[in-house]
Amino acid sequence: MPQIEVADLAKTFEKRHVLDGISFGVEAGEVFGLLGPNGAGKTTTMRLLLGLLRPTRGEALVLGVPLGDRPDVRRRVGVLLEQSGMADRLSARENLHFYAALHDVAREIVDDRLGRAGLLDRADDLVGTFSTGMKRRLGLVRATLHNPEALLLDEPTSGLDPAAQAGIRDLITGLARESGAAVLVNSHHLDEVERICHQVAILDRGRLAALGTVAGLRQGEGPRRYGVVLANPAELERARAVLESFGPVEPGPDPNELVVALPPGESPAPLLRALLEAGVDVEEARYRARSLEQVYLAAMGRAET
Amino acid sequence: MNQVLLVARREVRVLLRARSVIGAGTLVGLIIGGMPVFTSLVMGRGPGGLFLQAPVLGIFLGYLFAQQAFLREKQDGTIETVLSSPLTLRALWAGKVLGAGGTAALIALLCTGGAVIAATLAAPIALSLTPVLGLHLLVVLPLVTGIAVGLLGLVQLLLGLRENQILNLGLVMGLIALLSIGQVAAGETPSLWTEAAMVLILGGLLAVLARLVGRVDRERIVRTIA
Repeated sequence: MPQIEVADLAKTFEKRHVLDGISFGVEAGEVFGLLGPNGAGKTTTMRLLLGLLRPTRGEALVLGVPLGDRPDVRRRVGVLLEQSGMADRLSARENLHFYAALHDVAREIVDDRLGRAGLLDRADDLVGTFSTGMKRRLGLVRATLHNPEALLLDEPTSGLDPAAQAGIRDLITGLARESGAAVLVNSHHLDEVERICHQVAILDRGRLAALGTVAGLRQGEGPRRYGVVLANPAELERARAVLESFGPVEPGPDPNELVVALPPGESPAPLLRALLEAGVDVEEARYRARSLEQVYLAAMGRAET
Repeated sequence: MNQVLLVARREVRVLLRARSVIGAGTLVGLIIGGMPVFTSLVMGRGPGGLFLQAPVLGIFLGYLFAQQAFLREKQDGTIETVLSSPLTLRALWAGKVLGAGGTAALIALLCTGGAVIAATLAAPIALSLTPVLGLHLLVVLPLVTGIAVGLLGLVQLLLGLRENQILNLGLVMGLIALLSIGQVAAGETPSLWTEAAMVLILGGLLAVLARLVGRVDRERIVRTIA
Protein backbone atom coordinates (compact mmCIF):
# COMPACT_ATOMS: atom_id res chain seq x y z
CA MET A 1 0.00 0.00 0.00
CA PRO A 2 1.42 3.42 -0.93
CA GLN A 3 2.47 5.55 2.04
CA ILE A 4 1.82 8.70 0.02
CA GLU A 5 -1.08 8.50 -2.38
CA VAL A 6 -2.80 10.89 -4.73
CA ALA A 7 -5.91 9.66 -6.53
CA ASP A 8 -7.72 11.67 -9.21
CA LEU A 9 -6.64 14.80 -7.34
CA ALA A 10 -8.01 18.09 -8.60
CA LYS A 11 -7.85 21.61 -7.21
CA THR A 12 -9.57 24.68 -8.56
CA PHE A 13 -9.01 28.24 -7.35
CA GLU A 14 -11.81 30.58 -8.49
CA LYS A 15 -12.47 28.61 -11.70
CA ARG A 16 -8.72 28.24 -12.37
CA HIS A 17 -7.78 24.57 -12.61
CA VAL A 18 -4.46 24.26 -10.80
CA LEU A 19 -4.56 20.47 -10.67
CA ASP A 20 -6.70 18.30 -12.86
CA GLY A 21 -7.08 14.66 -11.89
CA ILE A 22 -3.54 13.50 -11.13
CA SER A 23 -2.81 10.11 -9.55
CA PHE A 24 0.36 8.49 -8.23
CA GLY A 25 1.61 6.59 -5.21
CA VAL A 26 4.85 6.40 -3.24
CA GLU A 27 5.65 3.10 -1.55
CA ALA A 28 7.66 2.68 1.66
CA GLY A 29 11.39 2.93 0.98
CA GLU A 30 10.83 4.70 -2.32
CA VAL A 31 12.00 8.16 -3.38
CA PHE A 32 9.51 9.77 -5.76
CA GLY A 33 10.31 12.90 -7.77
CA LEU A 34 7.70 15.45 -8.73
CA LEU A 35 8.95 17.51 -11.66
CA GLY A 36 7.45 20.39 -13.56
CA PRO A 37 7.88 24.06 -14.39
CA ASN A 38 6.68 26.87 -12.13
CA GLY A 39 2.90 26.84 -11.96
CA ALA A 40 2.65 23.15 -12.89
CA GLY A 41 0.98 22.31 -9.58
CA LYS A 42 3.84 20.75 -7.60
CA THR A 43 3.53 22.95 -4.52
CA THR A 44 -0.26 22.71 -4.62
CA THR A 45 0.05 18.92 -4.65
CA MET A 46 2.30 19.09 -1.60
CA ARG A 47 -0.04 21.47 0.22
CA LEU A 48 -2.97 19.16 -0.55
CA LEU A 49 -1.04 16.19 0.82
CA LEU A 50 -0.22 18.14 3.98
CA GLY A 51 -3.87 19.04 4.46
CA LEU A 52 -3.14 22.75 4.09
CA LEU A 53 -5.57 22.87 1.15
CA ARG A 54 -8.76 20.89 0.53
CA PRO A 55 -9.08 18.94 -2.73
CA THR A 56 -11.80 20.03 -5.15
CA ARG A 57 -11.97 16.40 -6.23
CA GLY A 58 -10.13 13.18 -5.43
CA GLU A 59 -7.92 12.24 -2.50
CA ALA A 60 -4.53 13.19 -1.12
CA LEU A 61 -3.47 10.70 1.55
CA VAL A 62 -0.34 10.31 3.65
CA LEU A 63 0.03 7.11 5.68
CA GLY A 64 -3.49 6.25 4.56
CA VAL A 65 -5.31 9.35 5.82
CA PRO A 66 -5.90 13.00 4.87
CA LEU A 67 -3.46 14.89 7.12
CA GLY A 68 -5.61 17.99 7.63
CA ASP A 69 -7.68 16.51 10.44
CA ARG A 70 -5.09 14.14 11.86
CA PRO A 71 -2.42 15.82 14.02
CA ASP A 72 -1.60 12.37 15.43
CA VAL A 73 -0.56 11.15 11.97
CA ARG A 74 1.28 14.41 11.22
CA ARG A 75 3.57 13.36 14.09
CA ARG A 76 4.87 10.56 11.81
CA VAL A 77 5.44 12.81 8.79
CA GLY A 78 8.42 15.04 7.98
CA VAL A 79 8.05 18.22 5.96
CA LEU A 80 10.46 20.68 4.38
CA LEU A 81 8.71 23.46 2.51
CA GLU A 82 10.08 26.45 0.65
CA GLN A 83 10.76 28.20 3.96
CA SER A 84 12.85 26.36 6.54
CA GLY A 85 10.09 26.80 9.14
CA MET A 86 12.48 28.13 11.79
CA ALA A 87 12.11 31.21 13.97
CA ASP A 88 14.92 33.62 13.05
CA ARG A 89 15.14 34.93 16.62
CA LEU A 90 15.78 31.51 18.14
CA SER A 91 19.00 29.56 17.96
CA ALA A 92 19.29 26.40 15.87
CA ARG A 93 19.24 24.31 19.03
CA GLU A 94 16.20 26.12 20.49
CA ASN A 95 14.28 25.69 17.23
CA LEU A 96 15.06 21.98 17.11
CA HIS A 97 14.21 21.49 20.79
CA PHE A 98 10.77 22.94 20.04
CA TYR A 99 10.13 20.54 17.16
CA ALA A 100 11.64 17.61 19.09
CA ALA A 101 9.13 18.26 21.89
CA LEU A 102 6.27 18.48 19.37
CA HIS A 103 7.23 15.07 17.98
CA ASP A 104 7.99 13.52 21.39
CA VAL A 105 11.63 13.06 20.49
CA ALA A 106 14.34 13.15 23.20
CA ARG A 107 16.21 16.47 23.28
CA GLU A 108 19.52 14.61 23.36
CA ILE A 109 19.10 13.63 19.72
CA VAL A 110 19.23 17.27 18.62
CA ASP A 111 22.97 17.77 19.11
CA ASP A 112 23.72 14.48 17.39
CA ARG A 113 21.73 15.52 14.31
CA LEU A 114 23.23 19.02 14.32
CA GLY A 115 26.66 17.41 14.38
CA ARG A 116 25.83 15.14 11.45
CA ALA A 117 24.65 18.17 9.46
CA GLY A 118 27.87 20.02 10.30
CA LEU A 119 25.99 22.67 12.28
CA LEU A 120 26.94 21.82 15.86
CA ASP A 121 29.43 24.69 16.13
CA ARG A 122 26.59 27.10 15.20
CA ALA A 123 23.99 25.43 17.42
CA ASP A 124 23.64 28.45 19.73
CA ASP A 125 23.63 31.08 16.97
CA LEU A 126 20.35 32.69 15.98
CA VAL A 127 18.90 31.16 12.81
CA GLY A 128 18.48 34.69 11.43
CA THR A 129 22.27 34.86 11.10
CA PHE A 130 22.43 31.66 9.00
CA SER A 131 23.04 31.55 5.24
CA THR A 132 20.33 30.17 2.94
CA GLY A 133 22.21 26.90 2.61
CA MET A 134 22.60 26.51 6.36
CA LYS A 135 18.92 27.21 6.89
CA ARG A 136 18.13 24.56 4.29
CA ARG A 137 20.33 22.00 6.05
CA LEU A 138 18.80 22.90 9.38
CA GLY A 139 15.33 22.59 7.86
CA LEU A 140 16.15 19.10 6.69
CA VAL A 141 17.47 18.18 10.14
CA ARG A 142 14.15 19.41 11.56
CA ALA A 143 12.13 17.48 8.99
CA THR A 144 13.94 14.21 9.72
CA LEU A 145 14.50 14.64 13.46
CA HIS A 146 11.77 12.13 14.35
CA ASN A 147 12.63 9.52 11.70
CA PRO A 148 9.38 10.07 9.77
CA GLU A 149 7.57 7.30 7.93
CA ALA A 150 6.73 9.72 5.13
CA LEU A 151 8.84 12.69 4.10
CA LEU A 152 7.69 15.53 1.85
CA LEU A 153 10.44 17.81 0.57
CA ASP A 154 10.02 20.94 -1.53
CA GLU A 155 13.23 21.79 -3.40
CA PRO A 156 15.45 20.30 -0.67
CA THR A 157 18.77 21.34 -2.23
CA SER A 158 17.91 24.83 -3.46
CA GLY A 159 20.52 27.37 -2.40
CA LEU A 160 23.10 24.72 -1.50
CA ASP A 161 26.64 24.29 -2.84
CA PRO A 162 27.43 21.05 -4.73
CA ALA A 163 29.01 19.35 -1.71
CA ALA A 164 26.01 20.16 0.49
CA GLN A 165 23.66 18.99 -2.28
CA ALA A 166 25.44 15.66 -2.38
CA GLY A 167 25.14 15.39 1.42
CA ILE A 168 21.40 16.04 1.27
CA ARG A 169 20.97 13.50 -1.53
CA ASP A 170 22.79 10.88 0.56
CA LEU A 171 20.62 11.70 3.55
CA ILE A 172 17.40 11.33 1.53
CA THR A 173 18.37 8.05 -0.11
CA GLY A 174 19.74 6.74 3.22
CA LEU A 175 16.49 7.58 4.99
CA ALA A 176 14.43 5.77 2.36
CA ARG A 177 16.71 2.75 2.27
CA GLU A 178 17.44 2.33 5.97
CA SER A 179 14.25 3.41 7.70
CA GLY A 180 11.88 2.57 4.85
CA ALA A 181 10.43 6.08 4.65
CA ALA A 182 8.40 7.05 1.61
CA VAL A 183 9.94 10.25 0.23
CA LEU A 184 8.29 12.74 -2.11
CA VAL A 185 10.66 15.32 -3.58
CA ASN A 186 9.56 18.42 -5.49
CA SER A 187 12.47 19.56 -7.60
CA HIS A 188 13.62 21.55 -10.59
CA HIS A 189 16.97 19.73 -10.63
CA LEU A 190 16.63 16.98 -13.23
CA ASP A 191 20.04 15.52 -12.45
CA GLU A 192 19.17 15.35 -8.77
CA VAL A 193 15.88 13.57 -9.50
CA GLU A 194 17.65 11.22 -11.90
CA ARG A 195 20.18 10.31 -9.21
CA ILE A 196 17.96 9.74 -6.20
CA CYS A 197 14.44 8.96 -7.41
CA HIS A 198 13.01 5.55 -8.18
CA GLN A 199 9.89 6.98 -9.80
CA VAL A 200 9.10 10.32 -11.38
CA ALA A 201 5.94 12.21 -12.23
CA ILE A 202 6.13 15.19 -14.57
CA LEU A 203 3.40 17.78 -14.14
CA ASP A 204 2.44 20.27 -16.81
CA ARG A 205 -0.25 22.86 -16.17
CA GLY A 206 -1.88 20.71 -13.52
CA ARG A 207 -1.93 17.53 -15.55
CA LEU A 208 0.24 14.45 -15.33
CA ALA A 209 2.44 14.61 -18.43
CA ALA A 210 4.52 11.53 -17.62
CA LEU A 211 4.78 8.95 -14.86
CA GLY A 212 7.09 5.98 -14.39
CA THR A 213 10.47 4.80 -13.21
CA VAL A 214 13.43 6.93 -14.26
CA ALA A 215 14.81 4.07 -16.38
CA GLY A 216 11.42 3.38 -17.92
CA LEU A 217 10.82 7.00 -18.83
CA ARG A 218 14.29 7.34 -20.33
CA GLN A 219 13.80 4.25 -22.42
CA GLY A 220 10.31 5.37 -23.39
CA GLU A 221 7.38 3.37 -24.68
CA GLY A 222 7.50 4.69 -28.23
CA PRO A 223 10.31 4.37 -30.77
CA ARG A 224 13.62 3.01 -29.48
CA ARG A 225 16.57 5.26 -30.13
CA TYR A 226 19.49 3.53 -31.85
CA GLY A 227 22.83 5.32 -32.17
CA VAL A 228 25.34 4.63 -34.93
CA VAL A 229 28.88 6.06 -34.62
CA LEU A 230 30.63 6.34 -37.98
CA ALA A 231 34.31 5.66 -38.51
CA ASN A 232 34.52 8.43 -41.13
CA PRO A 233 32.73 11.76 -40.52
CA ALA A 234 32.72 12.43 -44.28
CA GLU A 235 30.11 9.69 -44.61
CA LEU A 236 27.58 11.38 -42.32
CA GLU A 237 25.28 12.62 -45.09
CA ARG A 238 25.34 9.26 -46.90
CA ALA A 239 24.57 7.46 -43.66
CA ARG A 240 21.76 9.89 -42.84
CA ALA A 241 20.15 9.19 -46.23
CA VAL A 242 20.25 5.44 -45.52
CA LEU A 243 18.99 5.74 -41.93
CA GLU A 244 16.07 8.01 -42.82
CA SER A 245 14.37 5.09 -44.51
CA PHE A 246 14.16 3.39 -41.06
CA GLY A 247 12.91 6.33 -39.00
CA PRO A 248 13.51 9.97 -37.97
CA VAL A 249 17.22 10.76 -37.61
CA GLU A 250 18.93 13.27 -35.34
CA PRO A 251 22.55 14.00 -34.40
CA GLY A 252 23.84 12.00 -31.44
CA PRO A 253 26.00 13.18 -28.51
CA ASP A 254 29.14 12.07 -30.40
CA PRO A 255 29.96 14.34 -33.41
CA ASN A 256 30.23 11.25 -35.61
CA GLU A 257 26.99 9.78 -34.37
CA LEU A 258 23.50 9.67 -35.80
CA VAL A 259 20.51 8.50 -33.77
CA VAL A 260 17.54 6.91 -35.48
CA ALA A 261 14.15 6.33 -33.81
CA LEU A 262 13.27 2.74 -34.63
CA PRO A 263 9.60 1.71 -34.51
CA PRO A 264 8.81 -0.50 -31.46
CA GLY A 265 9.73 -4.16 -32.02
CA GLU A 266 11.92 -3.45 -35.02
CA SER A 267 15.42 -4.96 -34.99
CA PRO A 268 18.43 -2.76 -35.86
CA ALA A 269 19.99 -5.58 -37.96
CA PRO A 270 18.48 -4.49 -41.34
CA LEU A 271 19.64 -0.94 -40.65
CA LEU A 272 23.24 -2.05 -40.07
CA ARG A 273 23.12 -4.25 -43.15
CA ALA A 274 21.89 -1.32 -45.26
CA LEU A 275 24.73 0.87 -44.01
CA LEU A 276 27.30 -1.79 -44.87
CA GLU A 277 25.79 -2.26 -48.34
CA ALA A 278 25.99 1.52 -48.85
CA GLY A 279 29.68 1.36 -48.00
CA VAL A 280 29.42 3.23 -44.70
CA ASP A 281 31.97 2.19 -42.06
CA VAL A 282 30.31 1.77 -38.67
CA GLU A 283 32.62 2.05 -35.65
CA GLU A 284 30.03 1.46 -32.93
CA ALA A 285 26.29 0.95 -32.65
CA ARG A 286 24.05 0.76 -29.56
CA TYR A 287 20.63 1.62 -28.13
CA ARG A 288 20.56 5.10 -26.64
CA ALA A 289 18.26 5.98 -23.78
CA ARG A 290 16.99 9.54 -23.60
CA SER A 291 18.24 11.78 -20.85
CA LEU A 292 15.68 12.77 -18.24
CA GLU A 293 15.93 16.29 -19.61
CA GLN A 294 14.81 15.02 -23.03
CA VAL A 295 11.98 13.10 -21.37
CA TYR A 296 11.02 16.23 -19.46
CA LEU A 297 11.08 18.48 -22.51
CA ALA A 298 9.14 15.94 -24.52
CA ALA A 299 6.54 15.71 -21.78
CA MET A 300 6.28 19.49 -21.78
CA GLY A 301 5.68 19.33 -25.53
CA ARG A 302 8.65 21.59 -26.16
CA ALA A 303 10.88 19.16 -28.01
CA GLU A 304 10.69 16.10 -30.15
CA THR A 305 12.00 12.85 -28.68
CA MET B 1 5.19 19.35 27.71
CA ASN B 2 1.70 20.50 26.85
CA GLN B 3 1.55 21.87 23.29
CA VAL B 4 0.05 25.20 24.39
CA LEU B 5 2.79 25.78 26.96
CA LEU B 6 5.41 24.72 24.42
CA VAL B 7 4.22 27.32 21.91
CA ALA B 8 3.84 29.94 24.67
CA ARG B 9 7.43 29.43 25.83
CA ARG B 10 8.66 29.74 22.25
CA GLU B 11 6.68 32.95 21.74
CA VAL B 12 8.04 34.54 24.92
CA ARG B 13 11.60 33.70 23.86
CA VAL B 14 11.07 35.11 20.38
CA LEU B 15 9.44 38.26 21.77
CA LEU B 16 12.12 38.90 24.36
CA ARG B 17 14.73 38.78 21.60
CA ALA B 18 12.78 41.36 19.57
CA ARG B 19 14.39 44.10 21.64
CA SER B 20 13.15 46.95 19.47
CA VAL B 21 9.54 45.78 19.88
CA ILE B 22 9.89 45.25 23.63
CA GLY B 23 11.69 48.58 23.97
CA ALA B 24 9.07 50.46 21.95
CA GLY B 25 6.27 48.76 23.87
CA THR B 26 7.78 49.64 27.25
CA LEU B 27 8.40 53.24 26.17
CA VAL B 28 4.82 53.59 24.93
CA GLY B 29 3.65 51.96 28.15
CA LEU B 30 5.53 54.41 30.32
CA ILE B 31 4.65 57.53 28.34
CA ILE B 32 1.02 57.02 27.41
CA GLY B 33 0.14 54.42 30.01
CA GLY B 34 2.18 55.15 33.11
CA MET B 35 2.35 58.94 32.94
CA PRO B 36 -1.42 59.56 33.04
CA VAL B 37 -1.74 57.17 36.00
CA PHE B 38 1.10 58.96 37.77
CA THR B 39 -0.39 62.39 37.07
CA SER B 40 -3.85 61.30 38.14
CA LEU B 41 -2.58 59.92 41.46
CA VAL B 42 -0.27 62.82 42.23
CA MET B 43 -3.04 65.33 41.52
CA GLY B 44 -5.24 63.53 43.99
CA ARG B 45 -7.85 62.23 41.53
CA GLY B 46 -7.61 58.77 43.01
CA PRO B 47 -6.86 55.44 41.32
CA GLY B 48 -9.98 55.42 39.11
CA GLY B 49 -8.10 56.32 35.90
CA LEU B 50 -5.89 53.31 36.38
CA PHE B 51 -8.88 51.01 35.87
CA LEU B 52 -9.30 52.22 32.30
CA GLN B 53 -5.72 53.10 31.44
CA ALA B 54 -4.14 49.75 32.33
CA PRO B 55 -6.40 47.58 30.11
CA VAL B 56 -6.15 50.05 27.21
CA LEU B 57 -2.37 49.87 27.53
CA GLY B 58 -2.65 46.07 27.61
CA ILE B 59 -4.66 46.19 24.38
CA PHE B 60 -2.06 48.44 22.74
CA LEU B 61 0.83 46.18 23.74
CA GLY B 62 -1.24 43.16 22.74
CA TYR B 63 -1.65 44.70 19.31
CA LEU B 64 2.14 45.22 19.03
CA PHE B 65 2.95 41.68 20.10
CA ALA B 66 0.20 40.03 18.02
CA GLN B 67 2.01 41.43 14.98
CA GLN B 68 5.10 39.53 16.08
CA ALA B 69 3.34 36.33 17.06
CA PHE B 70 0.90 35.89 14.19
CA LEU B 71 1.51 38.25 11.29
CA ARG B 72 5.31 37.85 11.16
CA GLU B 73 5.02 34.06 11.00
CA LYS B 74 2.42 34.32 8.27
CA GLN B 75 4.39 36.85 6.22
CA ASP B 76 7.60 34.81 6.22
CA GLY B 77 5.77 31.55 5.43
CA THR B 78 6.84 29.76 8.63
CA ILE B 79 3.17 29.23 9.46
CA GLU B 80 2.90 26.54 6.73
CA THR B 81 5.53 24.40 8.43
CA VAL B 82 3.95 24.95 11.84
CA LEU B 83 0.52 23.98 10.48
CA SER B 84 2.06 20.82 9.00
CA SER B 85 3.40 19.82 12.42
CA PRO B 86 1.41 17.83 15.01
CA LEU B 87 0.14 21.11 16.48
CA THR B 88 -3.58 21.78 16.22
CA LEU B 89 -4.55 25.26 15.10
CA ARG B 90 -6.26 25.86 18.43
CA ALA B 91 -3.16 24.86 20.43
CA LEU B 92 -1.03 27.09 18.21
CA TRP B 93 -3.40 30.03 18.70
CA ALA B 94 -3.75 29.45 22.45
CA GLY B 95 0.02 29.19 22.89
CA LYS B 96 0.58 32.43 21.05
CA VAL B 97 -2.14 34.16 23.05
CA LEU B 98 -0.61 32.92 26.29
CA GLY B 99 2.95 33.83 25.31
CA ALA B 100 2.38 37.17 23.59
CA GLY B 101 -0.63 38.17 25.71
CA GLY B 102 1.13 37.23 28.94
CA THR B 103 4.20 39.26 28.00
CA ALA B 104 2.05 42.25 27.00
CA ALA B 105 0.04 42.06 30.23
CA LEU B 106 3.21 41.82 32.31
CA ILE B 107 4.72 44.92 30.68
CA ALA B 108 1.43 46.79 31.09
CA LEU B 109 1.37 45.75 34.75
CA LEU B 110 4.98 46.82 35.29
CA CYS B 111 4.40 50.20 33.62
CA THR B 112 1.26 50.79 35.68
CA GLY B 113 2.89 49.52 38.87
CA GLY B 114 5.94 51.66 38.19
CA ALA B 115 3.70 54.71 37.81
CA VAL B 116 1.91 53.92 41.07
CA ILE B 117 5.19 53.49 42.97
CA ALA B 118 6.57 56.69 41.48
CA ALA B 119 3.40 58.53 42.48
CA THR B 120 3.56 57.28 46.08
CA LEU B 121 7.16 58.47 46.25
CA ALA B 122 6.37 61.85 44.73
CA ALA B 123 3.28 62.70 46.74
CA PRO B 124 1.80 61.72 50.09
CA ILE B 125 -0.88 59.40 48.75
CA ALA B 126 -2.05 56.19 50.31
CA LEU B 127 -2.89 53.54 47.79
CA SER B 128 -3.40 50.00 48.99
CA LEU B 129 -3.89 46.89 46.92
CA THR B 130 -7.59 46.37 47.48
CA PRO B 131 -9.31 43.16 46.25
CA VAL B 132 -10.90 45.18 43.43
CA LEU B 133 -7.57 46.61 42.32
CA GLY B 134 -5.88 43.21 42.66
CA LEU B 135 -8.60 41.52 40.62
CA HIS B 136 -8.39 44.24 38.01
CA LEU B 137 -4.63 44.16 37.58
CA LEU B 138 -4.03 40.46 38.00
CA VAL B 139 -7.09 39.01 36.24
CA VAL B 140 -8.97 41.59 34.17
CA LEU B 141 -5.85 43.14 32.66
CA PRO B 142 -4.39 39.78 31.44
CA LEU B 143 -7.82 38.71 30.16
CA VAL B 144 -8.35 41.94 28.20
CA THR B 145 -4.82 41.70 26.79
CA GLY B 146 -5.30 38.03 25.92
CA ILE B 147 -8.54 38.79 24.10
CA ALA B 148 -6.84 41.61 22.19
CA VAL B 149 -3.98 39.31 21.11
CA GLY B 150 -6.34 36.42 20.36
CA LEU B 151 -8.81 38.46 18.34
CA LEU B 152 -6.11 40.29 16.40
CA GLY B 153 -4.22 37.06 15.84
CA LEU B 154 -7.32 35.35 14.51
CA VAL B 155 -8.09 38.23 12.18
CA GLN B 156 -4.47 38.40 11.02
CA LEU B 157 -4.53 34.69 10.23
CA LEU B 158 -7.66 35.12 8.13
CA LEU B 159 -6.80 38.31 6.26
CA GLY B 160 -4.33 38.90 3.45
CA LEU B 161 -1.38 41.26 3.66
CA ARG B 162 -3.20 44.26 2.19
CA GLU B 163 -6.25 43.86 4.43
CA ASN B 164 -3.96 43.46 7.44
CA GLN B 165 -2.15 46.70 6.57
CA ILE B 166 -5.47 48.58 6.41
CA LEU B 167 -6.57 46.98 9.68
CA ASN B 168 -3.30 47.95 11.37
CA LEU B 169 -3.66 51.57 10.34
CA GLY B 170 -7.21 51.69 11.68
CA LEU B 171 -6.17 49.99 14.92
CA VAL B 172 -3.28 52.36 15.60
CA MET B 173 -5.59 55.36 15.15
CA GLY B 174 -8.27 53.77 17.32
CA LEU B 175 -5.87 52.84 20.10
CA ILE B 176 -4.32 56.29 20.21
CA ALA B 177 -7.85 57.71 20.49
CA LEU B 178 -8.66 55.23 23.25
CA LEU B 179 -5.52 56.08 25.20
CA SER B 180 -6.37 59.80 24.89
CA ILE B 181 -9.89 59.18 26.18
CA GLY B 182 -8.40 57.18 29.02
CA GLN B 183 -6.27 60.14 30.01
CA VAL B 184 -9.21 62.51 30.40
CA ALA B 185 -11.81 60.06 31.64
CA ALA B 186 -13.00 60.69 35.14
CA GLY B 187 -11.77 57.83 37.25
CA GLU B 188 -14.47 56.00 39.13
CA THR B 189 -13.35 52.91 41.02
CA PRO B 190 -15.58 49.99 40.02
CA SER B 191 -17.18 47.74 42.59
CA LEU B 192 -16.03 44.18 43.27
CA TRP B 193 -19.22 42.91 41.63
CA THR B 194 -18.50 44.89 38.46
CA GLU B 195 -15.01 43.45 38.35
CA ALA B 196 -16.29 39.91 38.92
CA ALA B 197 -18.86 40.35 36.15
CA MET B 198 -16.10 41.61 33.86
CA VAL B 199 -13.99 38.55 34.62
CA LEU B 200 -16.90 36.29 33.69
CA ILE B 201 -17.68 38.19 30.49
CA LEU B 202 -14.04 38.35 29.41
CA GLY B 203 -13.49 34.67 30.21
CA GLY B 204 -16.55 33.83 28.15
CA LEU B 205 -15.29 35.93 25.27
CA LEU B 206 -11.94 34.18 25.34
CA ALA B 207 -13.68 30.79 25.30
CA VAL B 208 -15.82 31.88 22.32
CA LEU B 209 -12.69 33.00 20.49
CA ALA B 210 -10.98 29.66 21.15
CA ARG B 211 -14.05 27.89 19.79
CA LEU B 212 -14.05 30.06 16.69
CA VAL B 213 -10.37 29.29 16.07
CA GLY B 214 -11.20 25.59 16.04
CA ARG B 215 -13.49 26.25 13.07
CA VAL B 216 -10.99 28.24 11.03
CA ASP B 217 -10.22 26.77 7.64
CA ARG B 218 -6.50 26.08 7.26
CA GLU B 219 -6.86 26.70 3.53
CA ARG B 220 -7.96 30.27 4.25
CA ILE B 221 -4.74 30.87 6.21
CA VAL B 222 -2.51 29.36 3.56
CA ARG B 223 -4.17 31.20 0.68
CA THR B 224 -3.74 34.57 2.38
CA ILE B 225 -0.02 34.12 3.03
CA ALA B 226 1.87 37.08 1.62
